Amino acid sequence: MAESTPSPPPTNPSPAAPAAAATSAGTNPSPGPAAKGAINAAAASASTVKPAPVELTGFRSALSHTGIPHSVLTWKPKLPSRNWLIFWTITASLSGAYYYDRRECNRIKEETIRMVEGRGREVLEGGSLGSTRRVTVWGAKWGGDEDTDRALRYFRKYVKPYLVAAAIDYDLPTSPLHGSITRQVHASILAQRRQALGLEPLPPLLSLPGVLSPEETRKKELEGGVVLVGRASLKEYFEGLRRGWTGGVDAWDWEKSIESKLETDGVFAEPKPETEVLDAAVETPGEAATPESTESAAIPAPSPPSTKPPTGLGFLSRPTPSVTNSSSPSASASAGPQIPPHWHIPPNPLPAQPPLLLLPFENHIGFTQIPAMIASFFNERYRVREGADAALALINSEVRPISKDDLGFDKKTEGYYNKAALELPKRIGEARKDYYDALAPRINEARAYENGTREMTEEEKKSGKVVKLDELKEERKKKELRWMGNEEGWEIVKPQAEVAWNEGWENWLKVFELPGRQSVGSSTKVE
Amino acid sequence: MSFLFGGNNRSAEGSVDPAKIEMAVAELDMITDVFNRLVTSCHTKCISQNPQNHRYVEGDLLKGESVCIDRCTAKFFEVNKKVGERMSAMGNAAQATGSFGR
Repeated sequence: MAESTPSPPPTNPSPAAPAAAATSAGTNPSPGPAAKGAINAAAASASTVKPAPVELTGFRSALSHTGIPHSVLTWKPKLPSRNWLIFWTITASLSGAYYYDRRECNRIKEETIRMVEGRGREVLEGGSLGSTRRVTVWGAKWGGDEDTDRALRYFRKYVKPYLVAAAIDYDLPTSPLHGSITRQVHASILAQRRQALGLEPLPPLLSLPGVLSPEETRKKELEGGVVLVGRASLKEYFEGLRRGWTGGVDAWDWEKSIESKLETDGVFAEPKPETEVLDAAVETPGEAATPESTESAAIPAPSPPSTKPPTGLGFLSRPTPSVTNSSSPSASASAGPQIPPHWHIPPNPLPAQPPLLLLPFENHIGFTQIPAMIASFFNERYRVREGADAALALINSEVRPISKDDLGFDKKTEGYYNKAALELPKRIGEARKDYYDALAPRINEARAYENGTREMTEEEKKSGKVVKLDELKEERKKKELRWMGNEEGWEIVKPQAEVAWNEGWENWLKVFELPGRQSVGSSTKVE
Repeated sequence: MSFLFGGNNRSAEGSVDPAKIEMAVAELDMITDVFNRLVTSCHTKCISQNPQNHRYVEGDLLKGESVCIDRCTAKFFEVNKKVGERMSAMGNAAQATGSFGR
């Protein structure tokens, strides 16, 4: 700055001065003050027509001899216009927030995977016939969401990668309706109790290498764990436990119970009894039409044998075990009446259960929750962190007894149920009314045709088929299964309902201890 | 599989039904093909995923590999079944209409 002191006036107004000089110099060489004219005359010795270049001072004048273009030396940065500033600020902060968030996500994910992947690289005990730890993941339907596997997708996105790295296998049973988890858990517990009492035959043990005995299966199950995604899953699972363990051991099949209700309600009642009713009654139990029925058939014995014969040609016969399981309800139906009353008393102490992992989950749907969706889009890292913590808890398998505080798990997420969810019973009622209003004439038509009192209509002749009474029955059964299942499930899941709980459960159930934030933080620091 | 060997025994006795042998051979080819595909895809997915690191470090399966293979096999058969169902449905439709896939 020492050299620039002799001529301070030209440097200070220089942002404006070159422009002024450029515009004015061509037409009138001396419009400005006398001082500026003198400077211009002194500086512009080469050309008088062109605008006089700004005089360089200080280090710039020194640099002008090195070949750096004049325009570079005289360049003065200035802020873009207001609108551009607004645009760039918003764009940069949004993309910065997004980028930072996703980078954090990747960092957390990679860090956690690095912490656990050693377990995946251990040698499998028992050679190729051995099996690893296996957890069951329950993800309940979110109220008001048509997408039924939202919770499971959440699990797959935020927890699964670590389980894969740590070589923990997982089962993802589907739960297409509210209350599906309750029913599946209930059915499997009931099957277990009945098998223990000898009311039901044990599922046949396949004589294949690598198939575990029931005790070993049970042991593996206890080592495994249960992941409950979200509060709805917790409620449904606990209700299932309560129904299964504290209820009686009478044979129970959800679909059949609904069917028997439908048989007696008289929608298909007719003036004179017909044989087709009997036909329908014979045919329907064999039909496994809804997703619920397939799931309930697959669940009663959650036995790893069905997926565990990996040697030789054993895999060719893999689908058979699940088929054999479905024979149990028919066998149990005959043994129904002669159960001694003391068998209904729940076992004491209750058999050990696999520890539970409570994974927080919330889901935003609907127009009013768009701000929450946007916020969650930029805060993915917290969910990744939660998922990683949960996975670590599961993998490290540190358990503690459940406490009553755990029943308040994720309670705030229930506030996000939208109107469609809260009005579910009403909506089902309306749908049911509409359906039955439309059904009555169809029943009459079908019956009239089957009795031979009417001919085919034009439309029916064209398509070549007539709707039969049995088809209507089947259709109605499917609809009622959905409706009744959802209604029953919503009673369990709805925000007003409490989590099912019995005295003494705090000594019975266990949950995985989540690692504290600081412990995870310290371990990341070590890394 | 038993019918395959049954067919072989009968051929040893002398009463050969060439059509049945043909069918059995086709069946065996198909199963072998499925098996080979299964092995190839699951091996590529699970065993040699990172050749630099941890490929065949141990003589036995690693836990991660075992889980991967389990799931891969299950998925393979699931897909196989679904494709088979779809193909047979298409075949039935083709028989009904007289042309395949048009």
